[in-house]
Amino acid sequence: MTYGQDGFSRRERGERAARTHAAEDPWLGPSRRQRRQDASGGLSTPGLIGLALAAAAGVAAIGVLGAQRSASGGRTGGDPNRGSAAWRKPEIERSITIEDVPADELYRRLREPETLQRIMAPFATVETTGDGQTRWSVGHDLGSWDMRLTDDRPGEALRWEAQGDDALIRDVSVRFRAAGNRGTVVALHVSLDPPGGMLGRIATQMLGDTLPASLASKSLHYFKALVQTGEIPTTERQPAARPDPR
Amino acid sequence: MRALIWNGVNDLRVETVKDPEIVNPHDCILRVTMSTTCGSDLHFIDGYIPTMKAGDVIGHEFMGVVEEIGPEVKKVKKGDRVVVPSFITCGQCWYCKNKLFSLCDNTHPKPELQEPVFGYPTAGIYGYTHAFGGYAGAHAQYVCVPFADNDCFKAPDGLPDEQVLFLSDAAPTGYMGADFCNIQRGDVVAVWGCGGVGLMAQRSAFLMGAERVIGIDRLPERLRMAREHVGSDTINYEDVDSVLEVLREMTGGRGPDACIDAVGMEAHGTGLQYAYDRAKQLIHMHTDRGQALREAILACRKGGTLSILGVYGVMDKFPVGAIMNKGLTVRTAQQHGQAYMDRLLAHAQKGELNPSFLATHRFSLEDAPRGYAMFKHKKDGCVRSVFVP
Repeated sequence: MTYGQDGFSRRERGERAARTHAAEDPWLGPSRRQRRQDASGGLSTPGLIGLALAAAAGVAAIGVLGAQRSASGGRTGGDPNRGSAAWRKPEIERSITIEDVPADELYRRLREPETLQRIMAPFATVETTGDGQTRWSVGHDLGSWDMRLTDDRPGEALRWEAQGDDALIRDVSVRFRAAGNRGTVVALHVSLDPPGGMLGRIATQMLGDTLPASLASKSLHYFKALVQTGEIPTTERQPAARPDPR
Repeated sequence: MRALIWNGVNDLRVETVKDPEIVNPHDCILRVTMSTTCGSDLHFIDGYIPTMKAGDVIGHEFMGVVEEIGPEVKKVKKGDRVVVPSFITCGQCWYCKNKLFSLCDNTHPKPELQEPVFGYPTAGIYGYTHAFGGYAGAHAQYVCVPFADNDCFKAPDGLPDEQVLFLSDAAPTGYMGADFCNIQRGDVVAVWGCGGVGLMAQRSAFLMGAERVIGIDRLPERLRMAREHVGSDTINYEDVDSVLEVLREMTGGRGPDACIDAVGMEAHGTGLQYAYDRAKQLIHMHTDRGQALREAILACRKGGTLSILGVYGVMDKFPVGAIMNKGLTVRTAQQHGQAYMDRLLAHAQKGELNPSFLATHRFSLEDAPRGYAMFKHKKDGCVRSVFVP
């Protein structure tokens, strides 16, 4: 076998070249994944497939929903598909346990505009516009709407609700409850209201609850990291041999 | 700075990238003085573990000198010579406080990539896929170390880099694997794999009171290291009909009290089972060739302990019936290095643990791709390649 400069053989590189396709889903391989997709009519299982899917997503995925809304000129209120099995309006609920921080303190931290902005980053860019009012936008100016703080109970709950119909996220609520000697449980509930149209339906069907739920979880992890350690883990500005290192 | 970059399957190159900078207040910047290859890197170099991105800086076993500290770093000082465990840990969450450091809840920047696969995200790692955080790795001139006060451990004066380097990963992983076995005087411990982690697990088993340690591998030079540097007995599985039979006879018919798997998902083996695993892995029906682990499960004595250190993804033909019916205790984890560092440094200072013999090959950082190729193909008796930027 002849080895190249780096010591890996050409044959070895050639043999493995085909596998780079599997970077999308190396656990199962593209053909197998395709079969599964065909059989089930969608990516229904979380797990390994979810990982590959989520890898390609992020705020951008919600941006897809926003793009569709712009293209269809707003939501079609009486979309008949909305009630069908193919159309599920994502309702997400995720919790995290934060040790050694009482509910009052967590409430106080979340009430800070900067905290809300930082922990909601996986979902949307949040700007404070004053008087309990915030402006939320999603990916590449594809969607932007106002949300108002409608429930504000110190140490217990916070809730933001969208103003008007034109919102990808209808409401966001956070509840706090004591978890015995394990700290405080923080539950995040997000109601998404993606647009109609084929692309929106496909996106929702493909994503199911997996992706938005993972994003909710990410927001909670960011909140936990921020209150417990004073910082949020990040790959911003780190070295990498590509334009966007993240 | 110069850094070793993953550009695709079996495509490593040394390239110029921008220097790391302090981003979070507990960060520090380390000037890397030495780093080393790890067998677990081969899994993503070979393309068996997903979520690498072209352009990633790799490497997670390293040491260096502190160059710069963030505003909230209190203990670590500029100029400190330190060793850093591979997992990034906050020291504040329930997992860290319970010494389950590699399960830290606060250091994964991309939990959404891992949660669907594992249920809950682990701690982040340097240079080891985006599913494990996407942090830049340490085969570079500089690396950013988050939570410096929790993760930087001062290297004692008088211990050269080669002795300290492996306290970053190989030594704590092996030590933890032996610790899992709750070794009692008179115990026999069998260890599959005589690479860096396997040899450290064998040495650790002796330090914890094992009467006899048996190392299993196929490479004569590694088996010789196990005998000469560690004092283990060895089995070359290519020279025997059945490792199980040999172990049974070596232990008076009981089987080893504890079995440690220090091999992982790309095990080599012999016979039909190996051919089956290899074929399935090649067409991605599963990610793992699990012959070593299966053998360890079958070999372990009734009521014994199985300690899994090898890195795995998805495996079939997993003999869970043998685990259940024999009442085995299964212990496993990615290394909780921060929990063991004080003990490891004490052993190293007393001369009881000197991992420097693992460093069989030394390269400049510029030669790192060649170092990895040698390590991967185990050429010239390579156990670990170390890089000096």
